[in-house]
Amino acid sequence: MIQTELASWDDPETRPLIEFVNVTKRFGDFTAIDNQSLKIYKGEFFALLGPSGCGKTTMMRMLAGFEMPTEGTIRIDGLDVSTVPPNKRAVNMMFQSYALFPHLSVWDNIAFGLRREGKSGQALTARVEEMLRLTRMEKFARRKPHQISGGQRQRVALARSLAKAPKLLLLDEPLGALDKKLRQETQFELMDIQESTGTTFVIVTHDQEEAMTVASRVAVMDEGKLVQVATPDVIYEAPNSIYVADFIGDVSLISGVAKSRVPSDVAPQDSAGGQPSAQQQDTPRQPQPNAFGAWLHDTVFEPVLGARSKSDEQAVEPAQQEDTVTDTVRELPAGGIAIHWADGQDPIIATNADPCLDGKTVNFSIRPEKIGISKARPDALNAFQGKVIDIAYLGHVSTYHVVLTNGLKIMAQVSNTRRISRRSITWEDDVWISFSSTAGVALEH
Amino acid sequence: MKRFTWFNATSLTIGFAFLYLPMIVLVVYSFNASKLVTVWAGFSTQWYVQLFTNSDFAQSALVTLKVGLASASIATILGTMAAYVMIRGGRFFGRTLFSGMIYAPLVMPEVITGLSLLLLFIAIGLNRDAFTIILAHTTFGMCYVSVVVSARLSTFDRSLEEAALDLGCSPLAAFRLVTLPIIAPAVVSGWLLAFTLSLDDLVIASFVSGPGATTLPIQIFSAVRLGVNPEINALSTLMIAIVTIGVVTASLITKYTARRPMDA
Ligand SMILES: Nc1ncnc2c1ncn2[C@@H]1O[C@H](COP(=O)(O)OP(=O)(O)OP(=O)(O)O)[C@@H](O)[C@H]1O
Ligand SMILES: [Mg+2]
Repeated sequence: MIQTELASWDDPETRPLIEFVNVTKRFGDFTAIDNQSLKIYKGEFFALLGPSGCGKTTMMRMLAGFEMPTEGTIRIDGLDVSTVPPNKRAVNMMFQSYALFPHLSVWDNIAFGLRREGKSGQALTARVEEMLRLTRMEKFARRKPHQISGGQRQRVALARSLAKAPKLLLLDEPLGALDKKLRQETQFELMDIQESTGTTFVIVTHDQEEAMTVASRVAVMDEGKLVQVATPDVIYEAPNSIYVADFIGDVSLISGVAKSRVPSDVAPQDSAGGQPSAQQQDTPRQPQPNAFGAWLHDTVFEPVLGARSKSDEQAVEPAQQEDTVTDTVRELPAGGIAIHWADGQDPIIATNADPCLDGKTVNFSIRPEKIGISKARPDALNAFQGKVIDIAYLGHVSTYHVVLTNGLKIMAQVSNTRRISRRSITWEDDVWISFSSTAGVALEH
Repeated sequence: MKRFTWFNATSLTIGFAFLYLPMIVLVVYSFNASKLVTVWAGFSTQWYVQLFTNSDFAQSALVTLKVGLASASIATILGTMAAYVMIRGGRFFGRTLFSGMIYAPLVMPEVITGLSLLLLFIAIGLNRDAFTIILAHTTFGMCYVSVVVSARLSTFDRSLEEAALDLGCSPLAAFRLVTLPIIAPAVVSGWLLAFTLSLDDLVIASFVSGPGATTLPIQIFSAVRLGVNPEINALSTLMIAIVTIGVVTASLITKYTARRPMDA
C-alpha cells in the first residue's frame, strides 16, 4: 500500500479512535494482558496476530465491554468506556464461537440487532437481504444454525455483526473455517466494506497471510504483550525481534558476534531495503544516488524525466578481482556490521544493521526468498557453501534446505519459472547460497 | 455388544417386577366388578363412575390440582431465578454455600421439612389451608426446578448472551429474547416435575394442611385406613396415569432438546 500522505498512525495530530493506556488484565493471578498501550485510528484495518492464548480475544472483549481492564483505561473516541455497558457501545463483535442464536433462523439472527435498533418493515428486509447476498447465504435464510455447515455459520455470524454498520467492528477469527477461495473473496469483500463505509476494523487472525492481505497495521502479540505494531511490510521486512521474524513467514536464523565495520568513503548503496542478489549481473556498476537523492528523483523528477535506471540497484558486487577475497580488498558498501558466525567462514556483511551492535551476539534473520542458490560461486558479497538436504516443492516456488559447512540449516526459495524436470539443482548437490548486504536484519533478541 | 444372557433377563424381570407388580395389581383391580378387592369378578368401570360422583374426592381433587398448578408455577419462577444467579451471577460471597443449600431440601427427610414448615406457620400465625400447602410445595418444587434449569444453563454458551448485549439488548431483553427461549425446555420440564411432585406429596401436605383443605393423597390415605375399596384403586390408577404422563413428557423434552447443539 502506497501512502501518499502521512499515515494516521504516524501523524501526532490525529486523535485515535481507540486508545489502550497501560492496560493490564488479570484473571485471578494469571496476567492475560500485561500493561499494554495501543492506539488504533479511524478507518484502520487493524490485525491482531499471535499464537493461541496470547490474549487476542481478551483485547477484543475489553473493547466490546465484556471484560473490564484490571488496570489502565480504554478510550473509544476519546471517551473512557470503563462505565459503558456492551449494549451502549457503538461496537459490534463477531465471536470466535460465532454465538448464533440457536432458536432463531439465519434470517432472524441477522435481523436481531437491527430490530433492537427499531428497524422494521422494508428497511429491515432490505438490509438483511443485502447481508445475505454479501455472505451468499440467501438460500439458507430460513434454516436454523444447527442445520448449516461450520463455514456457513461463520458467514452468518459475519453478516450479523456487519448488519448494524457499527463504527467499530471486532472480528475474532472471522474467516478461519472458510476454504481458501471463499476466504480470499471475503477478505476483499471486507476490505471493500471497510473502504466504502469507513468502519474501523479490528480483526484477530491466526493466518499471517490474511493479516498481511487485509491489514493496514498488524500487531504481533506474545503472552499478553504487543511485541511489534507496524505496517505489514515493516513487520515482514524489519521485524524488531526474533519472535516476530519467526512468527511471520519463514526465516533462517544465524547467530554470531557483530563487529562494527570500518566506515569508508563510499556511501552505502542500498541502505533502504535492497533486493536479494539472486540474479547475478555482469554489467559494470553505475553510480547510484543515495536514499535522499533517489527519493527526490522519484517524487519530483520522475514524472518529467521518466524512470531512472535502477538496473544495478541490487547491491551486486563488482567482479571479483582476486582469489583471496577479503573485505578490505573488495569495494564494499560501507557501514553496518559484519557478523562472525562460524570459525573459518567469511563473516556475514549486513550494511543495513546498526553499528552500535558492535561486540554483541546477534541473530541474523533472513527470509528464504531473499537468498539465491547456485552451483557456481556467485559474485555476491555474502556467499557461502553448503549442501542441499531437502527440497520442498510448493508449485510456484521451491524451498531448498541447505546445510552449511558448520551444520547450520538455511532455507532458500526460488521461483519455479522453469518446469521441474529442468531443475538443475537437486538433492545432495554442493551449492552456494548468496544474498545481498541488506537482505536480512540483525536482531539482538 | 454383549449378549443378552439369561442372567440379565432374570435380573431385569425381577427388578421390574418389584417396581411395577404392585401397581399392576392395583390397576387391574380398579377394573374389578367385585367390591371385594382380592376377588376377581369380571371387568367393570363402575368404580370410576362412582368415583366421579363422590363429592369428597372431587373436592380434594380440585384442591390438589389448584395446589399443584400454583406451587409448580411459583416454584418454576423462583427456581429459574435461583439457577440463573447460581450459574450466571459471577462470583459473590457465599456462592458455593448458597448453591449447596439450594439442594438441601432434596435430601432432607420430608417429615423434617413438613414439621419445620408447620412450626413456622404456627409461629407467624398463618391459618393452615390450601395456601400453606402451596407454600410448602413451592419450597421443595423450587429445588427440583433449579436443579433441572441450572443443568441446562451450565451447558449454555455464555457468548450467546454476550452477543445479544453486543447487538443492543439490555440485560433484561437479552434474557427474554435469548436465554429464556433456549432454556425453555428445561423450564417446562422443571414445571412438570414440580407439578407431579406436588400431586404426589402426602407427608408434607399432611403437616401443613388444615381442615378445609385436603389433597387427594391425604384423602386416599385416610380412606384406606377404613379399608381398601375399589374406588380408591380407580383413583390411584388415574393418578398413576397423570404422573406417568407428566414424567414421560418432562424426560422426552429433556432428551429431545439435549440432542440439539446448544452453541450453534
Ligand atoms: N475468563 C477467563 N478466566 C481465566 N483465564 C482466562 C479467561 N479468559 C481468557 N483467559 C486466559 O487468558 C489467555 C488469553 O486468552 P485469549 O482468549 O485472549 O487468547 P487468544 O489469543 O484469543 O487465543 P486463541 O487464538 O486460541 O483464540 C489464555 O491463556 C486464557 O486461558
Ligand atoms: Mg481467541
